[in-house]
Amino acid sequence: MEHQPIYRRLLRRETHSPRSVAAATFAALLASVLFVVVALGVWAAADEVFRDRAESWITDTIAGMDATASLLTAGVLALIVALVLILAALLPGRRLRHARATDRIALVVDDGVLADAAADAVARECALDRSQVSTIMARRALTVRVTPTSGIHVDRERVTTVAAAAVAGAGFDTGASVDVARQGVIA
Amino acid sequence: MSAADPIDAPAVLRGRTALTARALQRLATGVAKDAAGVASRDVTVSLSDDSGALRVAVAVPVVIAVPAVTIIDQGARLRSGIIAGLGDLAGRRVSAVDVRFAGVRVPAERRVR
Repeated sequence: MEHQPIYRRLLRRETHSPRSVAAATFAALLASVLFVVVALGVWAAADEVFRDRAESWITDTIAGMDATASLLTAGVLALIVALVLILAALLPGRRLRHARATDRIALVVDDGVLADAAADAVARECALDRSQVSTIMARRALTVRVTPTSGIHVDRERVTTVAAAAVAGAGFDTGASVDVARQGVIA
Repeated sequence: MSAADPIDAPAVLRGRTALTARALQRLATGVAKDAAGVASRDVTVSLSDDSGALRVAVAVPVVIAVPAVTIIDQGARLRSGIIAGLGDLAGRRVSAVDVRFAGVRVPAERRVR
């Protein structure tokens, strides 16, 4: 029981994409820009020659630019950066994994593994070729798509039961929705 | 899940019986040959899917027999023969059989000695 808080934290870390790289990169960039600005400010305050040269350089550069276009470009760039940062901060960043914890173990399973397990079970139990079953495991729902063999009825109820049981066998209770293709394959 | 399966599960549940498309086509040819009463080289069968059911297109020659059987009757007999044969032998539900008669076969009369 004393492990539960650790498990909760570990599982959250395993199922969510970390934002530390983005945060560290952005903080480092911001720090270097601030450092350069402060350094230039101090230099300009101390050295009159440098201040004059910098002033004339800045005036020339601004005069040589098309004000509207450059402002627009800078604005769009800033907007894109801002959007990326806001999305990175607000979106949950879920990875395609399912996780759960019991008293003794914490379990992390890739969604693809659960989907394949369900597809294998459906193919085995419903006497279908494995290539006729495809599954998608989303966060809350398992979708099974079955292509029937021409002339052989597919029992939708059974497919639903088997797929749900395969996922439930790993301890994930998502249920299953089944989609039988209208067109079958000849086999 | 497999852990919950009883060890003495019925043999029906173990393994899978698969039939290739080619084998099914050959089987349909054999069934059509028997139903039409012609040689298998005279039968052309093609299979297609019809909304999940099996659709069979078959081309056979007309058999001129004594006593005479109308072409309509020959077609009906062939159709029911193929539906029953594929249902019994392969477990396939046949939704439609398209019959096309091409050519004529007169069974060779055997001299009675």
